[in-house]
Amino acid sequence: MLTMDVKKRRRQAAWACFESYLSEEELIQAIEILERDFQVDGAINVIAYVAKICMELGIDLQDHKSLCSKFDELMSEKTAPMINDPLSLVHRKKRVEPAKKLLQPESIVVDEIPSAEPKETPITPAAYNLVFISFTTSVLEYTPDQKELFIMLADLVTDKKLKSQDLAEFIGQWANTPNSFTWSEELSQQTLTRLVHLIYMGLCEVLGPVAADDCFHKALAICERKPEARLFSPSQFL
Amino acid sequence: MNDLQVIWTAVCVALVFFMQAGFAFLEAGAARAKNSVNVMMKNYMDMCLGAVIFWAVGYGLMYGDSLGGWIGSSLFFPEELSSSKAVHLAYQTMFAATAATIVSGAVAERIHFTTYLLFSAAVSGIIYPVFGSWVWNDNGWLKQLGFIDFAGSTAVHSIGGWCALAGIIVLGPRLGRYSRQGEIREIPGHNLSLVVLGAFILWMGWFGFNGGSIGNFATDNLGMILFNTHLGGSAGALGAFLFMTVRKQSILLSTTVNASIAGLVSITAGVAHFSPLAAVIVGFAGGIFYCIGVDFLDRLQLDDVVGAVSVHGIAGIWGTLAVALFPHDAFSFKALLVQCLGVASCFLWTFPLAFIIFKLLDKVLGIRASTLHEQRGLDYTEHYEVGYPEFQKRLDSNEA
Repeated sequence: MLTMDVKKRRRQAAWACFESYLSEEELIQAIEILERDFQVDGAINVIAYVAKICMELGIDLQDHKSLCSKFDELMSEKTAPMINDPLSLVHRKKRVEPAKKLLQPESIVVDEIPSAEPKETPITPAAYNLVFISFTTSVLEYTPDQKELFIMLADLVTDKKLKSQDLAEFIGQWANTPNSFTWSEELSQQTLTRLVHLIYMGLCEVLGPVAADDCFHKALAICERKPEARLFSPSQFL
Repeated sequence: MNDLQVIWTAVCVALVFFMQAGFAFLEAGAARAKNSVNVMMKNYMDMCLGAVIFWAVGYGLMYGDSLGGWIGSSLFFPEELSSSKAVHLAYQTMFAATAATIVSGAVAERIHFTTYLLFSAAVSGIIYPVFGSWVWNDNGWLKQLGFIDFAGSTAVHSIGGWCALAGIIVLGPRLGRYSRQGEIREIPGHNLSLVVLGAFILWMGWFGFNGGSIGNFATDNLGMILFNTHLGGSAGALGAFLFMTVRKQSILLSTTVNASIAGLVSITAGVAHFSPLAAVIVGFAGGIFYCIGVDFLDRLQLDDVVGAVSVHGIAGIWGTLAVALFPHDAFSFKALLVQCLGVASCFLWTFPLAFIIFKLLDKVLGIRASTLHEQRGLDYTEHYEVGYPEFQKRLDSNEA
């Protein structure tokens, strides 16, 4: 019962979050995505969900952080948001659509092309970013002393031999807010791969190579179960 | 060499060749799974490359007409060989491959394959044969002084050990092997069964390694050589067992196995001269010296993956000195000095030269694999294949 309520609250929170950015049809689409892939607990899930909606439905990524905060606030409020469960709208859409298709078969083409295109084109960059967030969050969960890791990373980026000085800014931002990944949203896959390698080196120095490998393998296993891993294999970061 | 000796030496050629498989298994098992193909490849290819180079130049430098007792100057690219000469060449080729392949395990998991092969060529073509000519060429200056190294504790094993030492100094330790506070992190090998199988194969090959070095059946006691070999290996393992027990350490299989190899290395120099009791003492102490050597190197943060410097270098020193300490006849201080001179000259010839070669290779080509390659494993980055594809993922795959 409780699970049902949390899921409902999550749908309501999502609706309220994106209401000012999206049309009703897009909002329904956002709820469908939530129901399909993101109805699980955890801060990382909220970050990943909001990032996906931003990228797929064209919301400015600069709003990602504030949307995440708003989502969290709505989830933690004692009273429920004053809106109906958006799931009813999703169900209503599903009932109406087959009827529409029967009446106007040619409209199928018109309806599907625009929704298919944005899904295909930007999905890869979004996927590798989401995978990075998911992977690094899991790595942090398996790291006993995160502070020590961040100190080591800060030390490694200053090592001239490693030629990683350009990553110092991102490491600094991450160290300040370990659960926020807004700094990584516009980074290329190559930069994210370099960051993953730097994290590996940091773990080797802090925990030793055996524990570092173990930590990476566990994070990889978790990451591979995420829906975005179907679009971008986390092993490509390794 | 009579016919019987030719046949026996030919059998020993096969036995010493099989030691390459022993080294390959032992080293691959002691490395992580992600580097197992690379270790195997190094062992395989240093033997292949070493064979051609030793035939072309190494044999001539070692057994050709000696220039002042320092270097051979004939028998290059030998073509016309009698049966006994050919089998001798084949046997010595296997020895050269052994000296070269010792380095492989020490520098495992972090050296570029190509630069390793180039260094290995230098061992088979220059470092080993030049020192070998001092010891085993009839006119070699150490031989003339009375230096005894029956089957190569110094001439083969210490050469490999000092080259390995130079390699691990130039390369540096594996990523995270030692913490910045000086803590030593163990990096266990991926398959201890392979390590043990490799050790068994090496032990078996050692009967050919020591047994094939006899001058002739009339003067050398082959049976005693084989038996002393076995006693030396066995006592080495017992020495390490006692050492670990007294120090209240865990009784490690990897340490015990390596100590038995150290015992075999120790016994090699004087195997034809030792009594069985001396063989036991020499092998036993060899095992203990191995344990001490590993601890010492770790304190210096010298990362030797298989303990090659201790097994082959330190145990090699001990075995060579033991020839004078446990003489067949009366103890001679002069003999001990000559043995010391042989040990010192081996180090002074091998270590600086190997160090310079490694440094040059590093400067020109780069010997150290990048940390990213270390993370991914050299199997993938150097060879583009993995040792255990059923549970290792290829990084170029997009399958989650």
